[in-house]
Amino acid sequence: MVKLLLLGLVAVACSTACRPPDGCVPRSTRCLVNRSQICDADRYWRELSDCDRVSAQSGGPFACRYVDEETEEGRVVGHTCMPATDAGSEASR
Amino acid sequence: MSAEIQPDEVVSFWRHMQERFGTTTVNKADAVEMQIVAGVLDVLGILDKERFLESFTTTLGRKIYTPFEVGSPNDGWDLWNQVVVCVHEHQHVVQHDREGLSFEVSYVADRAARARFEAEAYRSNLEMHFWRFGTPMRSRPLAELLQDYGCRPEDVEIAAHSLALANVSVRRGAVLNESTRAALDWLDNHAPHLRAQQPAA
Repeated sequence: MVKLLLLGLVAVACSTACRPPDGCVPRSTRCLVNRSQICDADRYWRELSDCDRVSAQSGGPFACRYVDEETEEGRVVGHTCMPATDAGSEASR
Repeated sequence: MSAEIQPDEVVSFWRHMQERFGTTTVNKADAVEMQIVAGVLDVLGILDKERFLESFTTTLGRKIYTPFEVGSPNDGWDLWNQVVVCVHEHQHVVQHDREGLSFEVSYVADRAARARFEAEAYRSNLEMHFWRFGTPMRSRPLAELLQDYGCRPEDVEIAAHSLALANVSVRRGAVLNESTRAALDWLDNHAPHLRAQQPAA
């Protein structure tokens, strides 16, 4: 039983740690279908948000978009879920 | 500035979240398992024992260990902070349900994963702040808290970027986290006076 548990833990750990990196540039972002992703420090793509789920939770349609905005904390550039009605003014990249 | 939240509202809110997600709350100071975890973190030099017990709320599975009595404000844990941390911790429960065993294993063994899971839960802090005050919360200080979790500077940078992007979505009306949706469902119905005044159309 203990061996099985340990084997399971190793399998779970290996499901990410033993996979070769995706080779992306850390901090870069992208849209994949309608999900935003970010490249982590170990060069793996990781999901940020599923915009379909965000739509269901927010009471309106959201789509994964490229944004480039000046905010109180400085310039923010990357991909995230935005109201689908903004699509005309901010092109998806 | 909207009205102050009342102790009975905080208690009712926590009860709603516990029923919604099937969780229980335990006072951290009374939990033997938390004393053990605190000792291990202290010995490993990751976190001071007293600081872990007094300054951090911790979730294991469906148990949430709080360093405060829900509804009783004390140092560092005013009533609104108790609401926000409730939502934050319940997003960890969502992660536990979504990822299965790999959530706990990755959280402990992988610093990048730990940063990712915490950054996701910090989105709830951003969302709750925006609902309450109507202005975006500064995201960089939240990301920098990850230094206390043994995360690398490069993990903190990724978290800061992801939270800044989340803030852009939140100010456009996005509800990113499941736990925030559950929280706002209750707050909009039972404590709408706490919400920031909406600008006139």
